[in-house]
Amino acid sequence: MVLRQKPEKVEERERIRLSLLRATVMLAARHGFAGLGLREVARGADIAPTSFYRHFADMEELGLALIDELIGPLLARWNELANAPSPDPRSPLYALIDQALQSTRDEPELMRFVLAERVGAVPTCRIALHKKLDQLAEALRPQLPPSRPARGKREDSTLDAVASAAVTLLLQGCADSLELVDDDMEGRARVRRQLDLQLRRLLSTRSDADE
Amino acid sequence: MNEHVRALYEAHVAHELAESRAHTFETRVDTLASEVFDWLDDIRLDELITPAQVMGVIERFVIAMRISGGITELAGQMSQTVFRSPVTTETRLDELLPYENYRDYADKVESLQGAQREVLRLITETRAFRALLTRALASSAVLLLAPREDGEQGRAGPFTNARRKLGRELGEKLEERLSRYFEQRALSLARRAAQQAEMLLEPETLRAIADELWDAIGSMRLSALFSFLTVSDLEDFVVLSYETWLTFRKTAFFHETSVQVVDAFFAKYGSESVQALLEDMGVTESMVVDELRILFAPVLALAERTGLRERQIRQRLLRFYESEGLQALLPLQPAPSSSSSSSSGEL
Repeated sequence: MVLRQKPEKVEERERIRLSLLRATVMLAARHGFAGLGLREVARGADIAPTSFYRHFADMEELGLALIDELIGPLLARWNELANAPSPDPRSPLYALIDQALQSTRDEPELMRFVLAERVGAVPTCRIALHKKLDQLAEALRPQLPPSRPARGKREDSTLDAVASAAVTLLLQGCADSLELVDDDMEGRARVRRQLDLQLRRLLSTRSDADE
Repeated sequence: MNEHVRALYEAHVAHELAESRAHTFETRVDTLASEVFDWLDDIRLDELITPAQVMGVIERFVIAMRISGGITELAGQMSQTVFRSPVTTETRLDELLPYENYRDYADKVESLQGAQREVLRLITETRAFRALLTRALASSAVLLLAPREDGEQGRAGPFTNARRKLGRELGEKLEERLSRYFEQRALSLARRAAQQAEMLLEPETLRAIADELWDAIGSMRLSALFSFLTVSDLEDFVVLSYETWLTFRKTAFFHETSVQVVDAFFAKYGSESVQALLEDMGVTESMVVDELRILFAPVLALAERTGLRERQIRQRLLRFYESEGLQALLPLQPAPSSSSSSSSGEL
């Protein structure tokens, strides 16, 4: 007879791991990730602080797991939509904008984490977040209109800069929508319009920047 | 494998199993321990292992190894078990630390006068201490001279009348002025406080404080002594200690001191026989034999009962009995009518 870890134990372990990640998101929204201690997070997840190490070696490892396991899937969905055909030809990023604002509404704390930690005090988390956001910028590149290579401009760096600016604008739109109360539909529509307009302007002026 | 070889194989397995039974294990341990200890008497420590190898072990297992989360969790749970144990509730401090031991510690602390003064100097020179001192002095002076903030009259004292005459408004102004006055003189006040505190460090005063402290806590039960601690605080201390250890083990200080300790250890024992080292550590042949018997005889018995031993023996012998070399050596003859093996295991 071979005894291995029981499936229910594995399941319980996964559940606690997720609780730790969720507790971190909630607490980081209030105090910032760098100010969080593992004891506080463990208590937030309703486990003994000494049990924290069963799941993560330290807070840095937890932060990286959070970015990978919670923020990763969220941004992956954004990446898909960045390339999806738009129902409105005048607004190429229609679906992406909608999804970004919806994500912000569904998971405001997670969005606060993204917004705060991309300029946060924990370098490893900052770098990991930037990598994820760079992937979004990369996914946005096909949406950018072709440049005029005949003029011999620096095509790649310009595209990168515009795609990166588009991501920054998108995140700023999410930050603006975080300030709205739940039933402020008018405010949401305003943020959406503003974001759409800004992104359209940015995408259309890329060629001008090349000149 | 033909029938004849199979019969031989089964007989061999049965023989090996009989050899490995617990009663033969004890005799084998005796023989092995005797041989090993004789051998260790002829072997120098630096022949067996080098300082670099020991440092390698320290680096891999003490400095770099990631400690399993199960261990920290267990440490937390075990400390809680001790904390909540009825023994902790019932045991008195002086049962664990008799007065004689406490007195020896107190004597030692009392003799470390240089250290006491240094600690005192470090404390009184901090800004936090100065701030605390000036605040305490200003508050005390105001309490003496001005009415209380809640309007309640204090008990009659030397300044009761003056306090009444001053009134609340004047009291607030006075507090402000006094605070400023004390703040400007914080440095000299702190020095004076340090001088006063040094008087406390006189051996007689210290001894009196230590004795009084013992009278207060010596007969206390551990649960009462640590009543300010909760299980949650205890967990925090385990985590804090663990985190401190994780940081400390990565420091250059820990690495350097480890190297020096290992070198010093080898300077003392490197050219000695391993047997001499074991003797110094209090490890004897009979102790090793006894512990091996106590620990391993039941484990081997369990391994045999659950079939692990038999499976191992079968796997080891099978390679030999299935080898072409053996088949070639054996004459072709009919297989025996019945197996001589007592084993019921299948191939």
